[in-house]
Amino acid sequence: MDRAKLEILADSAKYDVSCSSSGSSRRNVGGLGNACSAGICHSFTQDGRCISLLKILMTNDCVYDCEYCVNRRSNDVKRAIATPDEICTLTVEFYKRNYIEGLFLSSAVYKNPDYTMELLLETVIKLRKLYGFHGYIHLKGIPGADQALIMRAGEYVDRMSFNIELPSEKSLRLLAPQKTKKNILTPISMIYGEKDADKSKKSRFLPAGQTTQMIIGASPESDGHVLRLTEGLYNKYQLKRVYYSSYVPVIKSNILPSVPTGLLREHRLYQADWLIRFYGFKVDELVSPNENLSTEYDPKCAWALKHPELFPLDVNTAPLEMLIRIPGIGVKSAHKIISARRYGRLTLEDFLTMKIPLKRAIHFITFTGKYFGYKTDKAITTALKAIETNGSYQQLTLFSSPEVLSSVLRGEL
Amino acid sequence: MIFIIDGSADGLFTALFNSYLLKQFPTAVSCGDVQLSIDDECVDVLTNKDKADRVFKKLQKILPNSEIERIFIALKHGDPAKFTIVFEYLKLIVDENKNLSQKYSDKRVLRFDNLVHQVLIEAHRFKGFIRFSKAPNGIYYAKYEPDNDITSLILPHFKERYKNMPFILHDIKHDVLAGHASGKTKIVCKKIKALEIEDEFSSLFKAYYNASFIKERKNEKLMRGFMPKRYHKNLPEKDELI
Ligand code: SF4
Repeated sequence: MDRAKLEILADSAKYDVSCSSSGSSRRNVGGLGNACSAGICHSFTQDGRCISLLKILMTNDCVYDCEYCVNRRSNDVKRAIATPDEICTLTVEFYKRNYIEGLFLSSAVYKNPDYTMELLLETVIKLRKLYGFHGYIHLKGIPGADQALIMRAGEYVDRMSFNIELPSEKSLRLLAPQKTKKNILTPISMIYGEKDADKSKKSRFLPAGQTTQMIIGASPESDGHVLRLTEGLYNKYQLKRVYYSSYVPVIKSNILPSVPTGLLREHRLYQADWLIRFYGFKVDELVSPNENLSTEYDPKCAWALKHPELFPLDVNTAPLEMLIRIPGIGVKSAHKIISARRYGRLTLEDFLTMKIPLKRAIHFITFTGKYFGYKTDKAITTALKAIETNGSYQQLTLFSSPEVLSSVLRGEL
Repeated sequence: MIFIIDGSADGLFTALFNSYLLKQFPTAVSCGDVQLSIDDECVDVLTNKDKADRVFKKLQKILPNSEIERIFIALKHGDPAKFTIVFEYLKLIVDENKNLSQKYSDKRVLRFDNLVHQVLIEAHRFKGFIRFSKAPNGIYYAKYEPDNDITSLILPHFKERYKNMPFILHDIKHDVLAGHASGKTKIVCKKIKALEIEDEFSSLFKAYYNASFIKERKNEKLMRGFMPKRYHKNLPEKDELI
């Protein structure tokens, strides 16, 4: 593939947020590569996102006209199309040099959904069979393509995603008129059905499951709405991840906002999503249906402030599931506390030695009855707000670094 | 009093043995190449295999294998202060005759734990940051300069990944070379000049790297947090000349 083509096809794919290649263990049986369940970042872009996969479009030449997309038919951009062999060669050569963990292949709708899906299918079959590639492949499915093509592709790739795109059917109709809720949800539910039917570890069908993504801030839905949709998707289809992508205006439009949605909103949604998946929180505890998450406090902090009856908690007696509900205390710190408690009662000094973050937590805990936080609610909330404005929140601190960290913690090395 | 050891694990174990024997415990343990101040009293420790083995056996009785392994990982750290930290930790373990590896409220345990953690984090990072160039003879060659001596920790990963691919990992900071061909690997410590290999794909990757950047969200500080500047010189995507 030449440089100019690569630039067009990579440039068009970059807004896709799914950077993670984790969740799949594929052993190398003689060919080239394996998929590492911990997820490896090979580089970081100048905006701080992890480069793990070669994220590229088969083509950016689209017959659809989604309002928010640079590649929409009515937009005047340079178009390019790659051949399956070009994609395969580039993937393999990049992989051999350890530039990437695998391929994230996606495409605009070229000619029609079936035609595009066939091109994608041909590419992944070639990559596995002809090029002997055993690395990670994430394929973005084309909504509305023939079901048999979609299911067949699932046998060759690690993960597939059909993007929800927008958090409601109404917004979808307005902003992505050729896409329908049915065309997106049918393959998601079909894939779920197939995976559910064959739960054996050896199943070669999408070992890393499916994910989805939606754009936040291009349409009016609240965080409460978005998170309920998310929770539903996790429960109903066992999705591995739901990704949020803050809206960035990349193209002129009369019906879209002209300013980008701040990263703070995306950040708060990921925090809430994280609490739902790993901390045992229910959406109802975090935000009501028509409400947005607090901008002032992180969702756990906001929750704790609403529950004065539960705090302060004593760090020497609280069970694990309550320790992780203390603002500022993560799963890792909670486990440290539980381990260290076995050797004796913990004091404030012990927490300092153990480097347990206390900035937030101090106002919500006692050490065998001793409380060191501020005395009045007002002083506490002022202090907590100050942390938020000083603390530099970053989009990726959430879903990139913990994965790196946790893999080390799991003793994966 | 400072114990001077030869920098090997056996040297450190011997130092521990001697200090119990002499009932004298050093304020620091260091390897020959560290600057010492005039008034430090130095005691040279001659590495003795038998003594080292006895210490090692004792540790094996107290600690599970996974914890023994972590001692060797800690010793791969690039900071010369590691000898003192590991020494203090081992002394605590021997004194208490208990596996205290999770007693994080003890500073000695925590410092040791940090050493291990930093080495493992860097090893994990380098599973990503290693860059191979294809030499004309078909061998893939990577040079890199990590803070810690991590080559033996990352070699199994690359061996598994590139089963049929001959490659050489070259840590030009610690002068460690690891080679792989048809499933066999070998590590040697040797000072060899780094190779410069032109690889056409490095410029394609740089093009890809630049195209992936969302300009509206430029955040170099965040990038450097994940990928510190000192690593950049061996990354083609960060090479201004490509
Ligand atoms: S289908 Fe819509 S979102 Fe996808 S490339 Fe075409 S216009 Fe863009």
